[in-house]
Amino acid sequence: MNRKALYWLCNIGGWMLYVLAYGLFLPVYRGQSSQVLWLLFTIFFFVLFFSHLYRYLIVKFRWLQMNVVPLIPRLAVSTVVISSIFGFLTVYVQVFLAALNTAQDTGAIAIGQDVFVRTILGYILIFVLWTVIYFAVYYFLNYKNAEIENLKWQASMTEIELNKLKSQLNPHFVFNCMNSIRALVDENPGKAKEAVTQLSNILRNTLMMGRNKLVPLSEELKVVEDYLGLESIRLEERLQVKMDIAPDCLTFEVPPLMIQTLVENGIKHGIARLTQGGLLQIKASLTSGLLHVEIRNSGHYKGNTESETGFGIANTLQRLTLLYGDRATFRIANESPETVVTKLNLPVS
Amino acid sequence: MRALIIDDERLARQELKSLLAPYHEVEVVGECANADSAVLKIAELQPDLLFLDIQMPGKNGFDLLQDLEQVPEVVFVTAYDEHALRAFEVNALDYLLKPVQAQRLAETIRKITTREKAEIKESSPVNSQAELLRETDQVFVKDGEKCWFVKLEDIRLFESEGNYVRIFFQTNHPLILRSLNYLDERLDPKVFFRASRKHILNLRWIEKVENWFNGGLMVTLRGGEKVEISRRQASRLKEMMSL
Repeated sequence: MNRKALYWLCNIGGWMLYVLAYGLFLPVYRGQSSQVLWLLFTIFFFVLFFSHLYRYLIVKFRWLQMNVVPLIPRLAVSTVVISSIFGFLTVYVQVFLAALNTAQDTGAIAIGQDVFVRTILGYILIFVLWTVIYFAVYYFLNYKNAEIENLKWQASMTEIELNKLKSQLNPHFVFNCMNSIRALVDENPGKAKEAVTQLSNILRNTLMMGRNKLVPLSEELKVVEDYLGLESIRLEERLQVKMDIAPDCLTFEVPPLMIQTLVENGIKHGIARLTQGGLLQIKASLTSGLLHVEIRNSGHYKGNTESETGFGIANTLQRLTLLYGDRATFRIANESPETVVTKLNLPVS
Repeated sequence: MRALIIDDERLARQELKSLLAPYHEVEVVGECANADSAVLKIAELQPDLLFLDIQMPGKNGFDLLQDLEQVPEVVFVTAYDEHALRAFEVNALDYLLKPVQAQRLAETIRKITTREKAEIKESSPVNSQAELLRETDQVFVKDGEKCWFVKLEDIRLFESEGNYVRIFFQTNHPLILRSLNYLDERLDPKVFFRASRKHILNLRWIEKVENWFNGGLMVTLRGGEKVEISRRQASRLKEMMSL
């Protein structure tokens, strides 16, 4: 059942019950049962009209979404106003009917002030009850929905986090490493031990990536070296590495795992795809306060054709913009048909 | 069973070899580091079984299989390849995840040996070049995300489409990169009939044959495909069917 139908069912049904109960307790109207029916009908339609008007106000002014403190006075005022109008109306209807009954002029029937006060207070009570029921039902229905929404939101957040982690960890790399290490345990236990340490270091850095906004280049290069160490276990003679780092760069602060990601891209999409393998070169230098990093790898860059590469690049660009605005530059290009160069310029943050 | 290991990483090949060492039913006859050398090795060694890595430099594992006209049994060995594994759930013999678990490998070997026993081998391959493809030989077909190992006996119809041939089996009709003339030379003429310039059909899949215009025939296959046969070929077909 939808909410609108539920509202109408409850509102009409509720008021019908109220009017019936009212009719039962009415002093038997001097034998005028048809007039009693008229009175009850009138009350029923008035009350339906006013309660609907009240709901209209609640919906229109978004009181359902309001906090309790500003909500209470609004509800109080509207309850009193609506009950008063409704009270006066019903009293006059009764007077009118009574006048008809006794064939008197309506003006001749005196109405005591206490009649108004009693009627209006009674209606205030009833409308307060209506409000309580209305809001209770609303909150009850929404509580469930809100809970579901909340769970959904949490699930999607977890998924986003997981995907981020997965893309950082690169499962293909991790499992291939594990496999190589297994083989190394027999062949070269010393190298196997070293590989386990290197892999641990990379995993630790990946997991703590969010912790530090920036790390010294020396630390980043340590991770890059560990990563290259593991890749050369897998690729063996197919991977050759040349590093040329100016000593004054080592304390320069860089975003963690950014250079590592770019190196990984160069291997994953470049060297690892070549049957003969290739050369990876990393250069870093400092000029007028800017850090220049150049990564050269064998291979050919085909632009954003592969979604995976696109993701790595998009991720790097996004991180750079977040950290440096437009003060950092980054681009990948084919330097020659067989060499791809990735250039990264970082300012002091 | 004679097995060939194809993986670009030496250590990965070695690890698999050492895992396979205890199994006498599987003999590792060779290893290759890339698809191109594997094609030559397969032709030379005629292995019954391939342990194949999917991600390799140059051509990957799927490309390699597509290059083979006759595909041995294949066990995929991969580190992490969600897409590939999904594609293969259909009917790969098996796949192993790196690092390979000894227990899992034992299962795979059991699967292979039971399958080998179940299959009645007509003859052991003698000379690959001169020999025709057998009905039980399988080809590897990749169509977008989906992959199949298809036995020739399951293929109802080959239809020429430019440089490609569309094959019809079950409810699938993917393209393979072969010419119809090439297939005509390699397929067993007792089973596969060259119906026209565009079609080769599997005689075992014929449902009914009707007379058609100008002394030709219209053949309906059990998959619902209809193939028209010219008068000249029709007399040949009648001859074959009456045998």
